Amino acid sequence: MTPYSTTTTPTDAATARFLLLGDSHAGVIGRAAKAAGIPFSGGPVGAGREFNAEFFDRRGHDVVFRKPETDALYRGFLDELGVDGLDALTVPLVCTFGFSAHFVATTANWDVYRVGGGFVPGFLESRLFDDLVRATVRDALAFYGHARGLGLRVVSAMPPQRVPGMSDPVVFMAAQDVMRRALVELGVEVVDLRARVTDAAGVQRPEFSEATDAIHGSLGFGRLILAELLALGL
Amino acid sequence: MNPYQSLPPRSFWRTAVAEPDPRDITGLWTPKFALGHDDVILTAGSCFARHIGRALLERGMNWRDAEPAPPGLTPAEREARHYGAFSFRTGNIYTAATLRQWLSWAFGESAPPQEVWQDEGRFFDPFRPAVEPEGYASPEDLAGARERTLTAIRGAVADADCLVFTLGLTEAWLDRVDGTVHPVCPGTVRGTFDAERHAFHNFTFAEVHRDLSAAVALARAVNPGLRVLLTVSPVPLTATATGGHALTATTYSKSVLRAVAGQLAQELDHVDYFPSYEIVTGAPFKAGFFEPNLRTVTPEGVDFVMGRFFDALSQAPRPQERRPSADRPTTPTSGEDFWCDDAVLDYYNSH
Repeated sequence: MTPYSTTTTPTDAATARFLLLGDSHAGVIGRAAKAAGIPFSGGPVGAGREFNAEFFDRRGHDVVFRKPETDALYRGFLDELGVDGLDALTVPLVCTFGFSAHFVATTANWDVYRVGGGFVPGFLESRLFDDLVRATVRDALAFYGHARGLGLRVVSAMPPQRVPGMSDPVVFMAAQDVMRRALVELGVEVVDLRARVTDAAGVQRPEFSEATDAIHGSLGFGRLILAELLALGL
Repeated sequence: MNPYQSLPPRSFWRTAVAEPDPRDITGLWTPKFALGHDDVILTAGSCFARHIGRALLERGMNWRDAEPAPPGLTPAEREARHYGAFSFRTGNIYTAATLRQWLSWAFGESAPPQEVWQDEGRFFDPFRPAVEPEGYASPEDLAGARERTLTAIRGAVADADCLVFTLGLTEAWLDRVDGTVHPVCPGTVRGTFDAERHAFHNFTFAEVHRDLSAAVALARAVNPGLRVLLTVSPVPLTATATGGHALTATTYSKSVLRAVAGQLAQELDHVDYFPSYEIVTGAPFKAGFFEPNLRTVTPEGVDFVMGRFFDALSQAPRPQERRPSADRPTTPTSGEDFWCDDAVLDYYNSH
C-alpha cells in the first residue's frame, strides 16, 4: 500500500521537485513551472554554445563551471535547495546541455565533409559522424556522465525542431539523434516530443515556437515538457 | 425578402447537415470569446471532461493542472488516484449541484461535513470516494488531502482565464441529514446505502439553472474576469434510479443540461456553450463515435470533438498577444546565436 504521504500533493511550496540546469532552451521549462506553481530551482545558466566542451571542472564530487557567472547561478540554485554540491542533490536533475543542435549543425563547420555541396550517402549515419558529434559535445556528455555516476536521476529534453539559417537542417536532425543516443547510453531519461510538436515536415509547429526568434520553443512547448517531467514522476 | 433569405448555408439543415460528409460539417460553434495560447484554462466535470486537459496541452494551450501528483508516483498510481484528469483532484463532478458544493467549500461559503466513511480500518471521503482507492490512514489525513484540493481550487480559480465545465447528469443522491449532494450513490463505490438517509433526486431545469448560476457567480466573485465554457457530456447514463428506461432517462438528463447550458450562455456574456454533445450524438454521426456499448466515446470521437473545438477557436478574434519586435527578425538569418544570450538574460528579468 502506498503511504499517505506520497499520495497527496505536498502543500509545502518550497519543496523543489527538480534542479533545472540548462542552456537557453531551459528557459521555457522554468517559465512553465513557475507559472504552474511547480516548485523547482534553477534555470538557464548560459547560451547553448557554452555547454558543449570545456565548460566545467570536477571538484571532488561537485562541479565548478569555468564561467564565473554560470558558476554563481549554479551556487545560488544549490543554496536554494540547501545543498553544497551536485553530489548532495536529493532531487532529480533536469538538464538541456549539449542539445543546442543548431549550434552543432552550423553549416560552415561541416563544409569539409561535403562533396559537391552534399554529403556522401551514409555519412550522417556513419560512425565518423557519430564520433564527430560526440567529440563536439564531449564535455556535455561528461557532465551527464558525472551526474549519473553520482547516482542522480537525470532527465534531458530534446530541443525545439527549429533550424535557423546558419545551420544545416539534415545535420541538425542527425546530430540531435546522436546526442539522444549518447544520453540514453548514460542512463539519462530523454523527453522527446518531436512527434507531438511538429508538422508533417518534421518542423516545430507555430504554437510550440517562440514568436520572437527562429530558435526557441514557446511557453506551450515548455508546458508540454513540464507535463512530461511530472508524468515521469518528478 | 424574408429573414431566411440572408442566412448562411450553415443555418439550413440540408446544406449544413444532410448534404456534407459528416466529417466535413463545420461551423458548429462560434466562440463568444477568444482564448489565447497562454490563457489559463481549468477543466472539471464528468468523465468526458478528462479528455480536454490533455488535448489543450497538445495544442499548445495553457491547461492548468492545479493539483499535480506528488513526486514519485508511477503512472498507474497517478491514474488510480485521479491525478491529471481534471484541474483539481475532485474526481468526476457530474452535477451542477456538486460543482457548486466544491466551490462553496473552497471559498468558505459553507463547510464540508465532518463525516468520513470507514472500511477495514481505512478512511474514505464521501465526496470523492474513488480518488484514494486504498483509503486514508486517518480522518485527519483525509481532511488534509481534501483541504489540499480546496486550496488548489481557490488558487486556480482566482488565477484562471477560463473554466471549462462538462455537465454530465441530473440524477444524484442527497443526504437528508446535512443536505449535501453525493457524487455517486453511497454504497456503490464505498460507504453504506441508508434508505432513510440517502434520497434520490432528479434535478429539474430550474434547479440545475439555480446551481450552475450560483457556481458561476461564486467563481466570478473571486475572479471577475473568469469566463466559463460549458459543455454537455455525450456519454449516456450508466443507470437510472428513476424507475424509467435508461434511454428516456438519458434523454431527460441531457436535454435539461443542454437547455440550462444554452440558457446561461444566453443570459451571461462571460458564459459560452461548446456543442460536444451534438458533435458526438447528432444524427449525422449515426453513433459512429461510440464504442459498441453505445456509451464510451472512441478516441477518434474525442479527436473529432477537440478538432472542431480548436478549429473554431483558431477563427475567433485573437486576444492581444505578443508580436515579434521589429529588431528581432524571425526569419532565418546568419548569426542567430545572439538569441540564446538574449533568452538567458530575459529569463532573469523580473518584469
